[in-house]
Amino acid sequence: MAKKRYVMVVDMKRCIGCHTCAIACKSGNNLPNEVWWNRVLTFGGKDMDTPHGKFPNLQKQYLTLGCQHCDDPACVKACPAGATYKREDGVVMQDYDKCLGCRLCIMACPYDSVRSYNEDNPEYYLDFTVGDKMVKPQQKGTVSKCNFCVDRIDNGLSPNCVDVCPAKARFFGDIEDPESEVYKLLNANKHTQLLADKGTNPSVYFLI
Amino acid sequence: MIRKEMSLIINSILVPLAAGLFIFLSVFRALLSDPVDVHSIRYFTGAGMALAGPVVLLGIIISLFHLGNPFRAYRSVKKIDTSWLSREVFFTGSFFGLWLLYFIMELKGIENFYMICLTVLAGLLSVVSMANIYHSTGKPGWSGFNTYFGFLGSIIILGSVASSVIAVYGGSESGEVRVLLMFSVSSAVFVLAVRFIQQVVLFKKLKPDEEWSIDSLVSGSSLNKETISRYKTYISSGWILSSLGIVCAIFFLASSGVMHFVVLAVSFAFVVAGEFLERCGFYILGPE
Repeated sequence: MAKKRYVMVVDMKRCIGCHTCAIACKSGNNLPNEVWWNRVLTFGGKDMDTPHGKFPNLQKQYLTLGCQHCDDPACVKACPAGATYKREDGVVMQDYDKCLGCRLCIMACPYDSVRSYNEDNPEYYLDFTVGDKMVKPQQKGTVSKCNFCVDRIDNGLSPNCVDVCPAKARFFGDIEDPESEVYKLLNANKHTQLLADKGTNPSVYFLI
Repeated sequence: MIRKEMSLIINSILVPLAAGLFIFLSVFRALLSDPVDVHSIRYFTGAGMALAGPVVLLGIIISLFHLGNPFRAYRSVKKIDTSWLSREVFFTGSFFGLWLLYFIMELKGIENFYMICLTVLAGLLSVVSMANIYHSTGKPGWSGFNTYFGFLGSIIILGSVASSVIAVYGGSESGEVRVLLMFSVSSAVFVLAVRFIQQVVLFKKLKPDEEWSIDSLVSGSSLNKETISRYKTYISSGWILSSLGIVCAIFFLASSGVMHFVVLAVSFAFVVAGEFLERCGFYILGPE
């Protein structure tokens, strides 16, 4: 039996830029203040919701950005402590108990701002924990990032961002399984990967 | 960015300084043979090489402040097969360990050529690994040869002037010593010349993105005008200060009069300040 390789597929034509995925990720993983594992960018400019094109023919197009769970991850090679590692199923993980806080993974990653560093003790606006009980608490002096909601997928559920997307723009599954939705989608549609020229073979695909 | 990375900046000056000091003085010891000056040579090279250990130890201790969890630092050598940081920690630790063995042997009066060679090699590999940490990230301004010339160049610039200061402080002023000091400090001119050419090329290459692109946002490779301007200011100022220090040292080593320790110490202060600014400029290009 072939090895599993989990991938995420984002249909850019369906994405409406509602940020629900980003919020679900933040609350589902009980992320501290100012920490976002999943961001929504717009093609028009750095500011949120900036349209692109020439007036009056303007368009808004969105791109969600989180850890790309590369097949050949630069962060795993760079991490001196083995805190950043790749599971058998392709999910790139960050072990808070092993992390030194050297931030070399942040430097080595070809993608910007997909990781957060907790310089101080994580602070929360709320005085109670939200999200999944299974989520490991964040630690001071460690780096954190998207883990494809690993506790959920290990229990047969989809990542939070996939579950909540109102436009059904996000899909998750095993690309090695010909019966999976992601396999079929990628075979039937034109798709791209972000910064594919870096040679890390990201596991997040964008239908274009 | 600079304030956050201060411990790394200091570490990246102290380790090349220690490696440079040990390398230059080892070479001096091997090459200098004037029988009249033999005690003085043994004294100043021994004193300088003895200083390399505490300097590298200080660098290691200061680098711990960069970590979010300094008490987990022992884990940092776990991935020596893939991680340049693991390799740097391993070679820097080896440099200190080998230096300690050398020092104990030196105290016992045992001359061990191979131990010195191994220590020199560990010092060099430590700085090569340090440069590779940044070079391998592929970030703009870090992925070129300027990174190697920045870090390895510091070995030559800092090491040559520091060993001259120690030689002069040790009272070794024979013609043979003077020629060798002059030759070693002159090698720094070569490093500065190459750095100058690289800076001209890099300054032309580093331009703020005129057109916004999603790729530059995703990769974080776009540099704004302010960052580039700060980078250029730090790098240029650093180069000028290092050059001043080297020119000053050459001038006094070449003059026929008595060599003044204070003048060389001032040259050393200039090159340390220059390398510090150069390193600050380098880290400005890093991720926020």
